[in-house]
Order: sequence, then structure tokens, then C-alpha cells
Amino acid sequence: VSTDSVDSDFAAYVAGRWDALVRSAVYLGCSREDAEDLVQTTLVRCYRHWERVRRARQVDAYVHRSLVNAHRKARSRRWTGEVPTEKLPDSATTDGTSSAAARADLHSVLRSLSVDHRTVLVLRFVADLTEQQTADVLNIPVGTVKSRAARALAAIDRAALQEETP
Amino acid sequence: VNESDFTTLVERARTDIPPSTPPTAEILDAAHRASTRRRLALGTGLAAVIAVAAIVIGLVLLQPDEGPPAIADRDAVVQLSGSWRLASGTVDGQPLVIQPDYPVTFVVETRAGKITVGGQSACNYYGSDLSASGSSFDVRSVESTAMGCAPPVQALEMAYLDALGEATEFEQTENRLTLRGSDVELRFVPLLPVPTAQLVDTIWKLETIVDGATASSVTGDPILELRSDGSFTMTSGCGLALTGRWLESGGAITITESSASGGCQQHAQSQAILNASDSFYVEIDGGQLTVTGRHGGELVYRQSAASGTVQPTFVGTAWLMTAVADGPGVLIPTGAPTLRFHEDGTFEFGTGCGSTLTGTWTQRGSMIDISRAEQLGVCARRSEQVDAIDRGIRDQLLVQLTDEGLSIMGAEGREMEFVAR
Repeated sequence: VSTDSVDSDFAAYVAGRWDALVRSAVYLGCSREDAEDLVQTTLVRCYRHWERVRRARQVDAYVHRSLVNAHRKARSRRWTGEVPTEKLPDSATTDGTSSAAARADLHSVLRSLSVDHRTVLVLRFVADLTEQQTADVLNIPVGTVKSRAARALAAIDRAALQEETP
Repeated sequence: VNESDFTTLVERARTDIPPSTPPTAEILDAAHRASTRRRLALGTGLAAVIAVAAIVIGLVLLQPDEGPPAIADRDAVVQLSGSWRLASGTVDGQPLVIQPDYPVTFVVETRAGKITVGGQSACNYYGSDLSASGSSFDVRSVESTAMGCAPPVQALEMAYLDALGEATEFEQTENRLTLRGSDVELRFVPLLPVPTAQLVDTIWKLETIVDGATASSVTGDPILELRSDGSFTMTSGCGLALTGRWLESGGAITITESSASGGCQQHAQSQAILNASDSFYVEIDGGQLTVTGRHGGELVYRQSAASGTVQPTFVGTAWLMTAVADGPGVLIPTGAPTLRFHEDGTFEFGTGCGSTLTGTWTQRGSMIDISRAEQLGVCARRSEQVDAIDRGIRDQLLVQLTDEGLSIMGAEGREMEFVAR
């Protein structure tokens, strides 16, 4: 396989999935700028094994695994003092548009969860990975994905959600 | 909230993060530079060795009959050479989930002046050229078969091959090989070849069960026998017998079919044996066999005196019953009850008081399968001994040679012991 062929395939993937990967990174807990950096780092790393990644036909799962690992690593190196609290912080604000409200709300909701629960929800519902792919990304059984997702959803306060969203 | 509520929330937020143009050119440029840096890093280490290698090559050319073919760094190759099995590893701080039935192996060989590495990568087989210098090594352009496996196996394979690509340093200490790279570490132990010749068609008698730092002696007469026809028998010493099929795979013995019969499965000794029994590594040292279960547990066996290079034959043999354990006590029989195995595949069991049990028998290695057919004659009076023999033959789980003679084990701890006549 020539380098040109690998490059063009890789470039096509980047063009098609860049925004989705940035979105995943944002909801994993990054700022927009950090998210783009994280995705860029992840993709550079994935490029090295692109031929094998492509052959495995699980490209999204593979890239997300690298993304989650890179995020975990970045998080452990740059401890921000994040502490889970029962009450959500006041930082979630709305700018008058429903999508911004929803984003703020989704941010708040996800930030209120543990990292494990947040990661499962992001992979399943933001990145649209299947339960099996999520299990592969996190190296956990499918049953654990299901139970983590169920517990994460159960931990979200429906009333708070309805107050925030129009 | 339920999934639907959450999905709605995600959908609403989906358009909020404005799209951006991906910096594809930058990413590709960084990826190309990263690849070049890595090659250069290895090249720097190798540069010093090239001169040495040239000298080595020159020496080898001058003395063609001496030593192995010239390789960049012979010491490094010597240290890496051999067959290794992945025991554990971490990638980005996360442990690799080893799949016991799908080993990962790292086999380094030298052929025609080229070093190659290959083996099993959990699901598939892989191979690559390898260069080594000092404590650095490089695996390039890995090729592998493309079989599909269950997701956890596939995940291990991907993680391993990625980590192998990332690893640049190795360390070989006593019986351990560790490969390291940026945020990856792969730890290997020697992959010992299965000593099939001595292992197979031998009766191994369990002596010790090792659990962590605790070693326990065993009760009863538990044995392991792997036969060259692919069948096996493993007993727990308290009436539990495992029978089925085995094969050698990836340097280990894998039980491919197994059925358990008899009681005492919850017995601690049975549990230890069952835990180690589905797939295990073996090591033979003299007459001692160490079985290490892939899922944990260690069983130490000793070659039984009943073993021989020639299979025992029961044809024409006669056995005098010396004791029968049935219920709480042990009965010492009277009237010399005798079990005889005839050439035509039938047996006769004289009960010692006038009656005879008959049936057919077939041999499996050092074991016998007995099918009872009928009782000939009657005892003059009801005999506890005949009842015990009848139950023993009817419920027998295992008829096997022991160091002392012949033993018939039945359900609920029933056992009859014999010596050769």
C-alpha cells in the first residue's frame, strides 16, 4: 500500500469525522481549543497504524479509544481539582438560543457525572458508537457498558433537565 | 432520565458546536514528521553500531565457518532471541486484558542474517523484520493474517500490535522480557515448548496444590492422564472425574471438550483442579510435572509408578479385591472376590459368596470403561459385600491403575481396591 493511498484515505476520514471527534472531546470535558488539540494529537498517533486500523474495519472505535486514552492521560497530567458535587455549578448559562441552552445543559449534566459514566454516555450517544464498540473502546464487557449507561442516566435529574430546556 | 430524553438533549446540542475545517495538512505533516523522528531516533542508536556491524560483517566474511550470520548487534539479538508469551502489559496506563485462550507470543528468530519476530497476536498470526541495537529495537511493517475474532480478543490484538509498534526499548532479565515505549509496556515470560513426549501417555499423580504462597498436600489419589489419542482423564481424588479431549496450542494444553461426572465438585481440592483444568501450561522436571492454569492455580504432579512407556494391558489380568469403602466404614472382603478381564472384552467379578457379575469392558489408556450385564448365581444369604460390589460396579465412575493396584471409584465416595493376583 503506497503512502499516497494511506494519506488520501486518512485525509478522507479526517475530513468526514473531524467535527464529530471534536464534539466527543468537548463533551468528555475539554474546552473547544483543547478538544481540537486533543483530536489532532489522537489522529497523528492513529496515522502510524492507519493501514491496520483500516483493515480492522472498526475505525471509529479505534480512534475513539485513542481519544479517550489521550484525554485520560491529559487529565491525569493536568489535574484541575475537579470535584464531583451534588449541586451543579452556576457556570452553565444560556444565551437565549435553544441549542446553547441545551449545550449548556448537556455540559452541566455530563460534568455532574463521574468520568466513567460521562465517558460511556459520550461514546454511546454523542459519538454514536454501539454498545459493543463502546465496550471495545473502554476494554470492559458489554454488560458493564449497559449498567454504566443505565446508572449514568438514572443519576441525571429529570426535573433539572426540564427546567433548563425550553 | 431515560435514553430517549438524553438522546433528545444530545440532538439539541448537536448543532451548537460550530463545525470547523479540519487541519488535515497539519495533521499529516505532523504524522509524517513523527514517523521520521522515530526512524531517526532509532537510526542514531544504530549509527554507532553500523561501524561495529561492518567490522563484524568483515570478520564473518573472513571467517565464514565461525558463529552465526552477521547482525547489527549480536548481543541485543541474543537477549531478544527465544519464544516469549505476553503475561501482562499496559498502554497509556491501562492494563491489557489478557485473553487466556488466545495467547500473545513474541518469537524472535535469526535466519540468513535477518532477524524476524512473529507469533500469535491473540486472534491472528503476525510477523515482521526486527532490528536491534543495545537496548533498542524496532519492529517494522508488521504483516498479519486477517481472521476475525470476538471483540475482546480483537481489542487485545489491536492494543498489542499498536503497543509493539510504539515500543522501542527492551530489557531482558532473568526469565522476563519487557518491551517499553512511550506510555506502553509489554511484559513477557518464556514460552516453554510443551514436552509432549514425556507428558503424554503417562499417569501423573497429584501431590501438591499451590495457591499463591500456600502449598497444600492432597488427599485421595487424583491423577492426570493425557493420552496420545487426544483423550484425557483428570480426577480430583474424591470421586470427581473429568474426561474429554485435549490439544496443544500456543505452547499450552487446551481442553477442547470436557465432561465432569461424580460428586464433590464443591470440594476445595476439586475446585483447585477444576480451576486449572480448562487450559494450562506444563513444565516437566525429571518425574515432576507442574501444571499452571491460564486462569490461575498451580498443580504439582509426580509421575506415577503405574506409568510406563508401554500402555498397560488388562487382557487376561485378574485382581483380588482387598477393601471396599461403601458408606461410613471400610469392609474387608471375605471369600477372595476376584475381577477378571478376558480377551473377548468381557469381565467376570466373582463376589466371593457364590454369585458372579458379568459384563463388558473397554480400555482407554490406563482407564477402563465397564458395562455390567448380569448376575450369575446367587449367594446363599443376603451379603453386604455383594451389595457393595453390585453398587460399586453399577455406579463406577473410574476404573484406573494406581501405584498399589487397581481402583474402582464410584459415586458418593464409594471405592473398591484390588491387588494383582
